Amino acid sequence: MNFFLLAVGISQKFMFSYWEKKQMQELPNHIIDTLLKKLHGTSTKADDKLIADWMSNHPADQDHIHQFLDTWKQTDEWAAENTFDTTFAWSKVNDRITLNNEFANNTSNKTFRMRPLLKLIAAAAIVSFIFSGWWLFNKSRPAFNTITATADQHLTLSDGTKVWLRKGASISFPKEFTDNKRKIQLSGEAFFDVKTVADQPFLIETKKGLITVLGTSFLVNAGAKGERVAVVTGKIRFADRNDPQKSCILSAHEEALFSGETFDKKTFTGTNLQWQEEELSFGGIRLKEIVESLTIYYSTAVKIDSTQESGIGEIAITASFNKESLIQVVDELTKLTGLHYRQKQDTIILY
Amino acid sequence: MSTDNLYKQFRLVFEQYYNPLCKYAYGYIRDKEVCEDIVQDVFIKIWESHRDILLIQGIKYYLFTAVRNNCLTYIKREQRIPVYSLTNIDVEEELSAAGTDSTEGDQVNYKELLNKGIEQLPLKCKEVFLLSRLGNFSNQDVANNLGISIKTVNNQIWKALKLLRASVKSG
Repeated sequence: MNFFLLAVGISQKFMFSYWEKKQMQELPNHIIDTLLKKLHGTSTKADDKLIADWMSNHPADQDHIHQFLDTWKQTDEWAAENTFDTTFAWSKVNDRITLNNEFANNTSNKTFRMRPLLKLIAAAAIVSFIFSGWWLFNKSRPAFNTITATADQHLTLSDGTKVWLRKGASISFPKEFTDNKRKIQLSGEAFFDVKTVADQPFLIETKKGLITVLGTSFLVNAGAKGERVAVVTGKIRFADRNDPQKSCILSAHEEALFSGETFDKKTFTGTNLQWQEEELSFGGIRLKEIVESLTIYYSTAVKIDSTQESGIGEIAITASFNKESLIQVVDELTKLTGLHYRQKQDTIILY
Repeated sequence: MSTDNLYKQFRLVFEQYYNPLCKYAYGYIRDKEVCEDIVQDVFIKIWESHRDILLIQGIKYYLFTAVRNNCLTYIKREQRIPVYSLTNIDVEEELSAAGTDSTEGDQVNYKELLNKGIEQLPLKCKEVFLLSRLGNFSNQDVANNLGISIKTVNNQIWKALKLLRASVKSG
């Protein structure tokens, strides 16, 4: 049985090569070698001429040679096609190496040694990598998203920073923050709750101002008349975009109005914000989300006592408030839920 | 070079070679997830213990060789028969026979046919072809890398080209 199969195999192979010969006269070896050189882009002018001459003398081979060139081009396209998701894979690899780095941080700086002999090669390599690197960088410059809010809108950036955009506000931000700074652009009004990332400050560019943050929540109104920043928690630096030396530091409960010339700094009471012109209404919204909304709406920190059982935040509430003060709203909320509240400095805590 | 710059370099190399390396692995193992895992592991290994090679121009030799070796190890460990071990003769016969009738399916996407054709290349032929095309290696480089003569490389690439031309035409 084995023998029989083997015999079939041989005869097929024989038939195949016979068939192939019949179909097309194989090109002579020197032409094949020259063609391969051409395909690899290493052919000389003399080589090109050799092929051209061969084709004009052997019209029957012309089609074949053109087909080979076409197929080669197709394989080029095939090789260049991105069938695997590099961006996603990078984020996976990056997670793994940074996780490992945290454990082995002490050794990471001294692992690199180079033998003198390799230095010359490496120098050449670095030069070529700088060029290709620059090109790649330009090519893969992170894409910017621009969102203009047609209604009040909430979004979370890739670093976990939360942004509440006021109707009409416009924000531009990269899909991922890969630089050593997290830089975004804003016009209009927005509330930020910035995620703390050590060594990667958060920067907001407005038309005139530049705001630098390390992790805090605050309100920016980059309007046409003047730019206003009000800080609810944390600390920020508010600077002239064109002259970063000119700046002021704002802590919690401070606000500044920047006209383009000077910073007008005062205590921030949490009133007279544009947000408050609209009715606040909640339809079956959980308390922990309502508390977030109140914090933005009144620019005053409102929290649920963290020592309480977590169930409190899950209480669903339906209510609407029209131009009421924060204390009135909180008062009604406590009546609805049977909770209490206390004021600690400038924070209202529900318990 | 500082760790910071090495990291940037690492990322550049990753972005440049990730796709070709995965495609190369896919030539050995027809499971995309496994291929991606193998390639990612190779990069993580470099970062963990061979960072200095990031600066060497010939890093792609290392990358392609490492991916190939890890693929072969995987196949051995999984006791899987590599996908290409269908008899070469069958494939060649099929491809050439298909070349005779090209009446049907004008619409067939040549890309699909090319993909299929590449998958079905005989082992040695495929190895040479993938290394040459994906790594953009010269024939001399391929010869050195696989430890075969440049004459063999030339022959195999020519053979691959003939088979692929036939498989694209067969559509």
